[in-house]
Amino acid sequence: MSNDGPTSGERFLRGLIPENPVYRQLLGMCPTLAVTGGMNTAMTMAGAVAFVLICANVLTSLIRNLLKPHLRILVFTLTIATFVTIADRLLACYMYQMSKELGPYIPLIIVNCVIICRCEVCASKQSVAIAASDAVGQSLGFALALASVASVREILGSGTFFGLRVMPEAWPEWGIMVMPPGAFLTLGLLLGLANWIGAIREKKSGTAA
Amino acid sequence: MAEAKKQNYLVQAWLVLVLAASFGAAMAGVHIALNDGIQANKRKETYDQIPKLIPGAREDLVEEGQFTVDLDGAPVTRTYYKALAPDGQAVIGYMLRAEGMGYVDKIEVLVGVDAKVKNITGVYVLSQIETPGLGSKIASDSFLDQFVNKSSTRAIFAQKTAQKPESNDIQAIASATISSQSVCSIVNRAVREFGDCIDASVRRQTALENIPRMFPGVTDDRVKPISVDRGLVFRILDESGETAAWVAEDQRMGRWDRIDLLVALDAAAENIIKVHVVDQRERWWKKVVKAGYVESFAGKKAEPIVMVKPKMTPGDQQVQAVTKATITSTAICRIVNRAVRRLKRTVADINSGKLEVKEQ
Repeated sequence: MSNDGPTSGERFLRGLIPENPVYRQLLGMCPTLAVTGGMNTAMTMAGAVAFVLICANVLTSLIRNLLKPHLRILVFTLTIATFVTIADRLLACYMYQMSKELGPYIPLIIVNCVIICRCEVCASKQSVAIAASDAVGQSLGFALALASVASVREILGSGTFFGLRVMPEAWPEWGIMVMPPGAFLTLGLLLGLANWIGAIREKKSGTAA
Repeated sequence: MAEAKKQNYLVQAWLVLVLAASFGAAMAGVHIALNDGIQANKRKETYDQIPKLIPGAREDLVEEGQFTVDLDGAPVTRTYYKALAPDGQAVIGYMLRAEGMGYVDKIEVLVGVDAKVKNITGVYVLSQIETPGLGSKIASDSFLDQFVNKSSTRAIFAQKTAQKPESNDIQAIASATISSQSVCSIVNRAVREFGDCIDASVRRQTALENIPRMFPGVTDDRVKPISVDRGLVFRILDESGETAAWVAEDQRMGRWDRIDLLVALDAAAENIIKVHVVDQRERWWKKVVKAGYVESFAGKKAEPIVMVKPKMTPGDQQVQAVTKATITSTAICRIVNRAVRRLKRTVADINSGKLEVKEQ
């Protein structure tokens, strides 16, 4: 339960690219595939996940010294479920149509492994400030990942970005991109691209060394 | 001793218990703070659906009402919305709010029905969290549009194969038959409960509209509905104010749907004057009309009538069934017999003073 480990800045930066929840840790695949048909839904989901992740990380870090090892997962789940319920109710009250569009995926944030993983890896071991910056970094990384998949799918599938037309009228909308197969195709190709870039960078740093 | 205390489950789980209580309180607070807003959103969405589910309805001409149904002895309140015509008087349809269990959780549905609660005019899923990609398709237009124009007096079932337009069933979503059937069951129960609730007043109104067609020239003031515990009975007066005829309304299932009839007896309740069809949706009805089956009851004595097979020659107190429509013919014959029996008993009780008549 010490504060040894990466600093706030390191935690924050790692969440963006080096330990990106989607492209590096392969976590949170369900929402990544399900709500990335458009940027609006993807960003709302990213916002909801950020709210839950930041709140859960901060609270877990605050009580980290009271956690019993065999009861910690129960406490994490309880904490996450509470904040997810609050996020769900807030959306239903202030963004009703979006809440209906996202449907069961907001309650399903409870089982998003990104959050429980951060509670376990960082928040239950490090200080509140580090846990908070880790949550912000991971949330932004998750948002970046969702945005990358959603941009490709929405632009190619609907010819729009955040609902605004960006492709010429003559653009033949690729219907498959907004359907489930489009999600798998896009995610697979982007994952491959991320790994390829990673491999090249590793190779370069290896030769440099 | 101290070790035993440490091992105690409650002591070990104190943090979980404290957190559970705090989170429970926090969620209760959030619910209290946000519930009004959420309900207002749902209400707005409900009202937005009225013009879509009831053709010709306007959001500003809607009356919200409630009715009570008895669920295993427990009274449960249901909400309905009555859409009025632009004159603000005539009812053009109703929208019912219903809910029931789906595959995953509760499904909330809005059901539009016509003014006589005979046809479904639209269905909308207000909330559901069925399996994404499968059961969640119950909210899609392609699934819900199948309910439009289905009869609300017969149960609707979700079938695995595509249905013919005349069928009262719908095609279920592939791999989501439980969610599909759940929507059907919720719709069926909603229209049945509501139909039972307003059935009496709707049947009375429909009968009153049909009596002048049965007896041309009869004015409204000469039709006297009689309040008895035996269904709908009407006394028709002649111009001098004397009883000219007795009319009973009755209905039962035919081959495809409910058949609704008016049966008239003479003043002495000894002969059938006329049988009038208020509503039917039988498949072979043209054959029934062509054979003059309904008219063949007129002039019979007010005694049990026997239906004979199509090829047999009917006797005095017999009617001949229509080829290919024997189930329909049987249903009509049974309705007439039941209505006649009821009318005769009512008239006899009125004449003997056993039944006090309260004309309305």
